[in-house]
Amino acid sequence: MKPFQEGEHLPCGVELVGLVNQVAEDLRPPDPEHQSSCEHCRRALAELEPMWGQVRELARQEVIPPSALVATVIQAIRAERTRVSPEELPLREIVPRLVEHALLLGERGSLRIADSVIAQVIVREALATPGVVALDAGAASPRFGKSSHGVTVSMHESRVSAQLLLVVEIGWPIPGVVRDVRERVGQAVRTITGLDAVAIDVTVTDVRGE
Amino acid sequence: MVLVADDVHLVRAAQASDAVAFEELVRRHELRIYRLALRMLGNESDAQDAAQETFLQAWRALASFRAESAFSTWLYRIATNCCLATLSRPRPDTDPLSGREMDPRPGPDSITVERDRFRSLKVAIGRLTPEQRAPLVLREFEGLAYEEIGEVLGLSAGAVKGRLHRARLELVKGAVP
Repeated sequence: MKPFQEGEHLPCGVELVGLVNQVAEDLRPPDPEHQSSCEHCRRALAELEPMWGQVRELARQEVIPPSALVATVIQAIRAERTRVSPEELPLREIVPRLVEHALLLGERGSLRIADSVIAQVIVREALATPGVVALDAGAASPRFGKSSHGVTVSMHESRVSAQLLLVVEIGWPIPGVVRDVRERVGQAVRTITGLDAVAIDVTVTDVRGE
Repeated sequence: MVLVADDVHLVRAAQASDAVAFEELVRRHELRIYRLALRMLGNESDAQDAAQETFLQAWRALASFRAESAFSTWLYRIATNCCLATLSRPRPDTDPLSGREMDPRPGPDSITVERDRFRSLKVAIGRLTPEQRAPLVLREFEGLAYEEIGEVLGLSAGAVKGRLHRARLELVKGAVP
């Protein structure tokens, strides 16, 4: 950018600030006849246009925040939270499921795992458990909110809880089937994602024969 | 499965001390807050500090956020105040005009400083008073409307206009060759 030589008024009496705003806001000239014929105005505009073009270009320039920014904020917040008395932090906070990633912070960076990944792990293990016929994709439990594929995943930091809607094969002892589902799902979540499955709530919505 | 929550829901969850919801808010807003700080302060390390301070202050003050304005507006207000506080602190090791060339910590930009074709524009921005710079940055780089800038700065839209016009004028007059 070159210094602008004019004072605050052009020799023709037009205020420079008016021209600057006209260029900056892309406004129509308030006095088109004067501007098109006045050499002072035209010269000033010819200088202002490229100057403001540079401002616009800088505004469009991509800015990349430092990668440490978010991690530093998160760590500071966690450090503050741990100073809060433990009673204020229930293990499972019942909040609407809003965040679609679990977050694991390590020394060398963070890992986020989408809830859909965890849901797939859970579905596969639940279906592989003897006595389970299906997950009840059709049912929607008001307590657990919207359910798709019969599973709802809630995450809090590195803790996962899951709500499952199961259809059990008739004749199988339901408590035993559910216990097996919990064991298998908990194990798989831990092994595959490194997250801790703190609660697996099961609702048996139906039973079916062969 | 994937449910995209809007800011309002995330803020509500964060106010119920859900840190994960707040983390999502940080991720969503980090770019604009960092960019604001970068244009206000002119160098990356101060900008990072100010952006981090902004989010920490926001977390601590979250209970007082009343949703009378958008969350982004509220954040911009905190961020602008953080930047103004940074600018009012004496920095003996830094060129008071640009804050950049004398920064001893090499940023990712430092190699390209010499061929930064925006350099003189950045210096001209750095020469504006903080009171002029804030509305200019919010308008030209963040694209906020006058009313929103007024909310951020605690000014009427008319006062914003006045300061912004003065800032633009100073910018074109103060550009260095």
